[in-house]
Amino acid sequence: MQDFSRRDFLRYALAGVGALLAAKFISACASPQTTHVTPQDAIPVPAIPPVEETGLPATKYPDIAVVRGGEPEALAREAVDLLGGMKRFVKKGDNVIIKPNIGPAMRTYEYAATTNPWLVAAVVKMCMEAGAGRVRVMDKPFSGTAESGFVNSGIREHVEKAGGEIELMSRFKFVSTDIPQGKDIRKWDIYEDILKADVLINMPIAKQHGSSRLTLGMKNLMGTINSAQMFHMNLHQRIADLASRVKPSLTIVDAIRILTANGPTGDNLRDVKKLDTVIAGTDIVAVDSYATSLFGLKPADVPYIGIAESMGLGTSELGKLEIKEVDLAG
Amino acid sequence: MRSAVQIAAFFGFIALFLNASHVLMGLDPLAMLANLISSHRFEQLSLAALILIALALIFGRAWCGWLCPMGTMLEWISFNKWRPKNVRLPDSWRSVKYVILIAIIAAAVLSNLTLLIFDPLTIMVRTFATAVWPALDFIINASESALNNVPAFQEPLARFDNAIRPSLLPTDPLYYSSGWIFAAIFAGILLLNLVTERFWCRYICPLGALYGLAGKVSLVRRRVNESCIKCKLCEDACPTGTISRDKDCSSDPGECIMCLKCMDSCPCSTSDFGPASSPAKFNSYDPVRRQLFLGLGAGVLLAVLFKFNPFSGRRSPYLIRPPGAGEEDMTAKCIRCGQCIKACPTGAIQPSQMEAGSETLWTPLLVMRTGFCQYSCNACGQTCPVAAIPGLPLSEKKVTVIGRALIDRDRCLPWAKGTPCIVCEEMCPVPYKAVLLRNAEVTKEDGSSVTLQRPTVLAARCIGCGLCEYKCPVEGESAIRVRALEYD
Repeated sequence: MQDFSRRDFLRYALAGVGALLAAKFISACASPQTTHVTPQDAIPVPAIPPVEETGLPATKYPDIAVVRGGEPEALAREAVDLLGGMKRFVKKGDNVIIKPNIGPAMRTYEYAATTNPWLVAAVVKMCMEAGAGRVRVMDKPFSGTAESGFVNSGIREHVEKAGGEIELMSRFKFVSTDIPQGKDIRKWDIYEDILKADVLINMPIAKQHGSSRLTLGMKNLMGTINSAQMFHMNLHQRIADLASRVKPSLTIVDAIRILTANGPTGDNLRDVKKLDTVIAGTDIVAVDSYATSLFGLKPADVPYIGIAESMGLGTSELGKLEIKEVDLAG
Repeated sequence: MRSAVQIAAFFGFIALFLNASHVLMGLDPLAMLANLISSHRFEQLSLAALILIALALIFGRAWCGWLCPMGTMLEWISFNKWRPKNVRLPDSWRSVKYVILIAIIAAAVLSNLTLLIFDPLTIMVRTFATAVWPALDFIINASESALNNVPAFQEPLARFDNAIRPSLLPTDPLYYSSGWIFAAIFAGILLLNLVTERFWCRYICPLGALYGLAGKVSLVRRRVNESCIKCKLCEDACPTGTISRDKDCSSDPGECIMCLKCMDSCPCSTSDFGPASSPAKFNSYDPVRRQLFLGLGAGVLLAVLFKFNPFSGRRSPYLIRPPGAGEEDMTAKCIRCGQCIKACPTGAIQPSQMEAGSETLWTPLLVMRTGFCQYSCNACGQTCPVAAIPGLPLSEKKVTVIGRALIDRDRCLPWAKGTPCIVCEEMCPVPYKAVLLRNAEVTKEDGSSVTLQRPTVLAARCIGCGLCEYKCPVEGESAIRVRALEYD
């Protein structure tokens, strides 16, 4: 410290400024962060290969697979198999992101406020078996830290055992993103890795939410954005708007335990119902529509489902869908 | 050798600070002693402080020169080059630190700990928690955002970010509105180095004064033998200026920080450190009579003055303390160490200013718009070294009421604007939600009518955690605010 002269200071300062300018230059050369897409432009739709390319028997898959009565892993495997197996979605070397719900970041899985850890781990395993290059599990909880959420829910332990990675979402990766089909919001900060992933698997837990609504697949996507509370100004439209931009290849609803009241936080086993059910499908609107029946509701009771359907994001008419139901218990 | 110890001790401080470990303040005999006198309660943690006192009885103020993080910072940022040469300040100024020390103890006898804001460890923790760490977080996050534009950096950057958060830096930014005050005070202490080396340690530091008193009778002291040629090299080397050629190059063990620089600078090895038997010589600035009375007077006077609070009887409705902590705990137990500020994962705990008068200056205050009291978190109570915030088990903390939420119906979206919003109900973390939604047909300003749900707080269920206030989407002040219990 003693012989740090003025000359040294100037030299280091100059080097620092130089490095900053260089970084600026390199970043200027790199591709721009936000692409301005006009509504007419195509929206990237997750690549679900046509049946013939997967090398699996060319049969038509059901729209929704519902599996009941078994352990979480068996439920997940059967549901995905009914939809054509994980190879239909995940190709060799794919960058897979699984989005569970770690919600209040303070409950253990019994309280049905967070996605079942064994179910998440089973999906991680299936992705690895299908040859995924990397499987990451991430969510931004609405209270508390993601770290505590993953630990308390048990998801960290089981995912890491299954060979997946837990990513704590980094502040700087929420990038302002255009939502060309958005009716109310046209731009929001969305986690860039989720947008860039080869395969996004959405794994909500079915929960009661407020007194008339449910947390299902589309609502779960709110964990991929910043300032989620600002969504509530026009919640249902905004959820549908987000679903038009963040498009999971597969939605797997955890209905092993569901929370029927005092959601989405829930701290009461009295409100938890054990159903041992998993609902899966590629059409997020269809899956959400079916899941309303778990609570004795109809798709029309959950406003964002209807809005999403009117935006062409999927279909809610259960009568028009092919639903395959299996009960593992016999 | 000494530098190595200083670096290790400094990183030790940072590690304890980052873990918000309650052990840290146990290393501060002044804070623990003042707390003991004020609260009449012996904390087991004080045993650690006793070790340091024992150390001081052997090595005098070695803490200041070897271990103190503040002393280390003052040495690293010493402004040695910019300081005018040959400035000799009157030795009588050294009394000031003794006066402050005595005032702290005197006020503590009257159950007031406000003056512990002068304790160097509390200054360090406060400054690091509210200013240094948030600034570091800001800089690192900004750099990450910039570098993330370069595709090649994205992968290593993501790994780096997952490695440093949340263990070293917070996942979401934390704000401390008073951070600049503490940064300014800290900068001021550093800038005093421009006047003279280790100005703080020589003249102000009450912890240094406490160790100085121990130094007067310490076992190991600096010695100068007869062969000294009075070359004054040691006088120039001494960072506390206690070596004076006017006094045969001797030094005051109450001022000496055992840095050994005099020994290294001595050309004829006449200066060394060894056992001494009799107490040190008395100096005019040492605390007897004048300083003692001044300190006692100042302590008593300030303790009384702090009690004078123009707002007493009309306390702020937003004076929310951490779970289980009462106002008396804030005056008589809280040592102002700021560890709870660091421990709070949401940044809800802010140092109070004048919300409850000057008596509780810089004690923990919950500000729900900057953070919230996380339902399944009891970190502040666990980290508090003196139980000013009781160390409640989680099950107990979850049912501890710290305030109650009230809805401002003139600002609440469904009540005032006819806009659907249920965020407060959604967020409410208690098992039986404290916010009730009722369906209502509402006529909006433009005459149209809409059916929506309007929230009402069920006071008996509300624990005042403030998650609703934190998340309320209304701009600026929240439309649902947690108020202190007295105002129910």
